[in-house]
Amino acid sequence: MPETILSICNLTKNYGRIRAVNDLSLDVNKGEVYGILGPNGSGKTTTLSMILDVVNPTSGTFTWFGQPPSHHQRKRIGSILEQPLFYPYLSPLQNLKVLSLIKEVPDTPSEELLKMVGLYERRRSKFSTFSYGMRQRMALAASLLSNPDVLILDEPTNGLDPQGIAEVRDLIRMTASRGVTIILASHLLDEVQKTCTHVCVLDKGKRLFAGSVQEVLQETVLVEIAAHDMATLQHALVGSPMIRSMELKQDLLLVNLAENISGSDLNAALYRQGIVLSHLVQRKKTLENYFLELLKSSE
Amino acid sequence: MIRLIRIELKKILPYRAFWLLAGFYALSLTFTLIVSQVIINKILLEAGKSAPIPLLKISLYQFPRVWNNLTYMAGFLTLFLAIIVIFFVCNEFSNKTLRQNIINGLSRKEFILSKLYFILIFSLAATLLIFLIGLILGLIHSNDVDIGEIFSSRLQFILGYFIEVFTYLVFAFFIAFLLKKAGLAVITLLFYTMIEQIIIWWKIPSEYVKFFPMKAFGRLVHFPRIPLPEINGQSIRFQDYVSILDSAIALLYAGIFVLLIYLLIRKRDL
Repeated sequence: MPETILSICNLTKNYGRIRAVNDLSLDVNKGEVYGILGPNGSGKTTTLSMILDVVNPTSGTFTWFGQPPSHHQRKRIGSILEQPLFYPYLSPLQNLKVLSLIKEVPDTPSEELLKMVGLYERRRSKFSTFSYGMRQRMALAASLLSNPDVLILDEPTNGLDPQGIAEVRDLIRMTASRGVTIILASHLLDEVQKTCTHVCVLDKGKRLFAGSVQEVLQETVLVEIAAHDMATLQHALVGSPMIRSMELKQDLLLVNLAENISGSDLNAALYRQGIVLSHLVQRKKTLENYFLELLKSSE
Repeated sequence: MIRLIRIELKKILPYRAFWLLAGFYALSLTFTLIVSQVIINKILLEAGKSAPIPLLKISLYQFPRVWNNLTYMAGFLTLFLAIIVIFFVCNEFSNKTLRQNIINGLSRKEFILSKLYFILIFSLAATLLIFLIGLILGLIHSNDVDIGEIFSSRLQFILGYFIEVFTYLVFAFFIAFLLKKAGLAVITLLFYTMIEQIIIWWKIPSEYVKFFPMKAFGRLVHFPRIPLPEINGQSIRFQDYVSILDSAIALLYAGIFVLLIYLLIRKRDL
């Protein structure tokens, strides 16, 4: 039985009449890199804000490390949220000092961390003089100061240059390899696919899916097909139980196959109906296909 | 407690704007104290020219009355200290560092406590400043200095001043916490003071006036002690001591505002 780090149970948040998070439940186990995926406004940040106790849930509960939430647990959590927030008139060293006092850890690794994120030269400049990328790096250093058991990242690569993005990904991989549990919210599918082991898909505050990334990728098979008479082909597939959906793209038909159906199954079935395919290619499985699929079906 | 105080000190000591404002306060305080003495003597000198009997130059700052007069006059400048507190608290909102502090592992209660410790230390520092200024002015203006006169029972005005400043700053903390925006908070503080004054003038019998917050915070040292001769045989009723009831009312208000802040931070999404 894996150790549960975070367990969310029926969490709901209303902002006036808007339901930002709707009856969300999920479990994050130790060592997972857990992606919370969803378009803008799907409730990712609100969810993270609730589990970090800066937003009060309308209803529902959550536990950290199997315990009801308290500020002591948050000391074990490192976080990089949408905007890096520090005292603008303090230097990185002074900011890390405040942080270390809050987290009740020594601030001795400060200089080392600043070297790691490339801010050592600026360790005595005011935070307000930093560029956006530097602020993100500062947040990175801060999140690692307490040697956390859990790292929470909200859109961690937002606004970073390609080099910065690669560095953040390296950091996530490196941190995960040390056994740190990572929770990552993103609207970038590619990012989640590349870094996460597990994923939860949110839309309008509702959970559409939760499971391992591998599972998702195994589940969806996307094929592109073509025949001489595209209209007949399309007509033959309408309402077919073999497919989940299809989409005409120029002279190709993109077909999302139903569970346990392979490309050859589809081909055989069409052949029986007298349709000969002139083109059949299995597309590389991506989370994106699945994700768009999910969003479409939830509408 | 030590940890929370250290957090606050790390936040504020390197903050240049804080030192600028605090320095400005200390300067204007010293200036006000010296100038008011000069002006009063000027007026007395003018009046003395036409008076049948010559009026003596007076000193506001002889021991032991210096404690009473000094704390009375410093009371007019407490607003400066309130503005510093408002800026410091509202910064935590505008920089969203309050939110970050909580995320990092400070509890909401600890945040309130840390700010209260700051206000406590800040009030102590302001009181110490007054005490030192009083000591210096007193030594300059008294001819024969007697230790008993320096540390007389009038020293209770210093304690009264401390309670006055502390409770007033707690009120400023509440306004800042409620409104989150420094400019708005300062304006509201001034506006509220005016409104309260108008209501008091308009309708309130004098025996109830002391129960209004701004009056409660300002009453502890509410009357200076001027060495004036008797006027028409009636001597002015000077304030001889800091009233325990007044102190209790001020502290009670401070307690209520702390409670309100606590309720606010518990309910609020940060």
